[in-house]
Amino acid sequence: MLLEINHVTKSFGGVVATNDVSVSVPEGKILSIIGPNGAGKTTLFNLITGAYMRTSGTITFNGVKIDTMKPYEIHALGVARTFQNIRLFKRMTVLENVMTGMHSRIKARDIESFIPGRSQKIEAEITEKSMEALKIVGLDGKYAEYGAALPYGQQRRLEIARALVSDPKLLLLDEPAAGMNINESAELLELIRWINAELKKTVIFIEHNMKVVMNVSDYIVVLDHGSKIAEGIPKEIRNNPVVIEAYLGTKKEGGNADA
Amino acid sequence: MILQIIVNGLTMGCVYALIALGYSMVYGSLRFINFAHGDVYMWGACFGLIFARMGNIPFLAALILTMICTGLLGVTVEFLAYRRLRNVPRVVVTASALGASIVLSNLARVIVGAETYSVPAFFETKYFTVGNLVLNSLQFVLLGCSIVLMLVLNWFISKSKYGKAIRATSENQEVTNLMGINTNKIISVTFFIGSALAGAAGLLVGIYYDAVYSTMGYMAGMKAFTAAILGGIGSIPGAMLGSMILGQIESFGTTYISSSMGPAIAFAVLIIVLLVKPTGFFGAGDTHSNRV
Amino acid sequence: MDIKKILKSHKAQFGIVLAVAFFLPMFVKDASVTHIMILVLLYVILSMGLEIALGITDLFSLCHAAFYGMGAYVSALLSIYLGWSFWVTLPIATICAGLFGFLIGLPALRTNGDYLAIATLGFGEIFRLILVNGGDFTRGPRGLTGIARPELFGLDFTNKNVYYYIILAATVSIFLVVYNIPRTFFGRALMAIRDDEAAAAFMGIQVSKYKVTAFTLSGMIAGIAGAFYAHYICYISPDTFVYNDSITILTMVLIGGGGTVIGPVVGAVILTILPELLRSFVEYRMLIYGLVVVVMMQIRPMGILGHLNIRVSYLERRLKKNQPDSRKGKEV
Repeated sequence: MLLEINHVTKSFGGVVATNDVSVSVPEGKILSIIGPNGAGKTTLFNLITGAYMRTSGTITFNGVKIDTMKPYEIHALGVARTFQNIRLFKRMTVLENVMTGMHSRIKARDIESFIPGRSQKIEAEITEKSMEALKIVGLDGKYAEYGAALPYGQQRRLEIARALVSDPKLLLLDEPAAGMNINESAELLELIRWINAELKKTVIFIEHNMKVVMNVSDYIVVLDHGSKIAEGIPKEIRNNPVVIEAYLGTKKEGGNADA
Repeated sequence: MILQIIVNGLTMGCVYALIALGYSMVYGSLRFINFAHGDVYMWGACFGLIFARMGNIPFLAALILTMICTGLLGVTVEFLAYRRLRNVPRVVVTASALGASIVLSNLARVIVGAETYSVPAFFETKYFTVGNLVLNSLQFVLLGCSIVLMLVLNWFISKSKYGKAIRATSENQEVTNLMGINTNKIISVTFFIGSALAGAAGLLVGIYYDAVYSTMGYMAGMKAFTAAILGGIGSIPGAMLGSMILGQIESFGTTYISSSMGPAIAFAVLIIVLLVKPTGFFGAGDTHSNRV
Repeated sequence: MDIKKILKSHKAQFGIVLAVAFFLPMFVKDASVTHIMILVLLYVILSMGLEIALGITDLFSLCHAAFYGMGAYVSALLSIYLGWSFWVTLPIATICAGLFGFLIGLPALRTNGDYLAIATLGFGEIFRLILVNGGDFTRGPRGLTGIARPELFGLDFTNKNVYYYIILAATVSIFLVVYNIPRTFFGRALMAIRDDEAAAAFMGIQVSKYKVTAFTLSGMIAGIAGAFYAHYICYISPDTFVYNDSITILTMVLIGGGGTVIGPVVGAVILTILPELLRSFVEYRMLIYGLVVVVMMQIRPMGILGHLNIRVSYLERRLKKNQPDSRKGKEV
């Protein structure tokens, strides 16, 4: 197992945001987390990446216990993420945003930034890797623009590039298709599949669009009110009465296309 | 001896409270440190000096006039220096406030003068001795005025229409806007009240120490800000409590440690509070995740 | 057209400014003008220091004058009491000011924005009070007199022009170091913290370490300016390193445009010369200064050069170098 979340509970004051959740993610798979608003999906991401510390339980990544580690330590182990409400570095260019994502992979010490010649060599390497990541998401032509000036869909792609550039073992995507039109989200789907198949990245993503989830996931975990109410392959989830009641049921009234 | 120290601390605590309330209220509504606030306090002392020199204005009238003048001054500063800066990084607003502070203190230098001026008395000072405690009528006036003003403020904030709007604005400006409350107007009212209270403090201190000078705003402003942070910035009872505590710390500190290091004691308290509990006693202001 | 293009390149601009700075003293006969030019350079160094903390990392520091004073006092005290040469005291002063910066950087780990501004202001005030109450050691408010001018290869440092060139050399080196920071991974870590601290942490940046480092560097650079100042004026007192000076340096950075490195230089030049031009209006000098600050913040909130996307050309250059082997990856 690449990631193992073992009976993790997180409470804020008296409010339980994540209640005794256990999830196992095997290497090389695409796992999606679904659930209604406020189900605790992003909280789970924040627990994995170290933004919150679990109240109880353990989280193990690649054999290392990470549940008390700080975000930067977890990132260095190979967990990279994107954000639900896009968080680009606003006063940095597209390329610089991606270059920043490389930080954990730079072996040089900070002081080497001040040594002429040495610094240029390090930077050349970072630039090259970052441009590769930008190419993957198709934004290499926009490297000199400010990240915040890009259209919404491209900002999401930029976040993915920024996460990919650190060559993570595990990629966490928080609603990567939110706010995208049909074409954009189809392309994004393709991209996620490609990242999984070609770059051999394990992907966990949070998504509301059921079509996307059913199409691309190897495995689905359903959260509701902080608890895991179901898990299984897409087919099982589609036919799970508990899930239909908690989540899909409400969607179906809106239109079948989603389910 | 101890009692004397406590009374002195209480007196200064009241002054800090009047100034700290302005910091706290402005921080509550606009989320930035109004560095010009200390200079509004200084202008209160200057207005007091001007009215005292006229000679025929009774104390109460001078107090009210001073409060109106400094209140309007505060509103003007907000209108000219901060209003256009609602959606820019806070650093920029703070820089504008620093500029406004320079303008206000130098305006006083130009208009009032660069020296330290003594204030013609509004009334005769009487001394009272209770045991070995020495009190004077100025202390009574200072304490009395501060307490009355704070009670009025408390009533205003909790009962009046504007007070409720001020509280709503400090909770959530966007929602308040949506509810049809004119936030700009509320912010003006906030500035008026905060500045009027600081002006009153300036007048009272000017009389109490019999000294008015153009740079008096800086140190008083900083101490009052410390008090506001101590109590939890944005909180009105917090500002009052924090001020009282700071007044006592300073009073004891200057007596038992070193009189010339008095201000350093206040700042040391400030830094300790910021390190240990940045939100103060009552504050829900900025908290900073140490997970990052 | 080509001339315009050349003028737009940073190297050309830098060359022109450097040439002007280099040849100007040769045409200046008035020692008081040379004095102002030295002050301009000192403030450029100071604003470079603050640029690292405030402009690049967004750490609001209101005690920059204290770092400056730390450098000045350490260097002056070593020179007076131990008779050490300026070239020994300068690095020691730099290190001490850096340590002071490190110490003040620690609250930055717990507090942010306005709170940090106030904490640094408190530190600055405590520093001043320690100097004032330092007794015979710091000679209190009277300050230190009789600080020796530097000596080197028999050059006459009492000559203002010679001193000017030494400071110019220091300024240029410091500028180049700071100018390069945003173009390195170290600088990007600082900028990422400025733009979104939490996101930076998720990108693998150890926020606490970088914040403290930024403060340390900022202090070191101010310390250098302090040492140069002490051995130039030969007299220092606590009054030189107070709140007002911190505000002055802060406004230089913000008016020029924090985060651009070039902006603060422009700000330092303008705001050092402006008060000198207003000397004949002594009474209104600071009033006008304050008005300029307020008005500038209204019309150019990001500073004179703050809107510039200044790091584009270097990215282009770097990519051209990398072109042949960067054409891999998948088109989507």
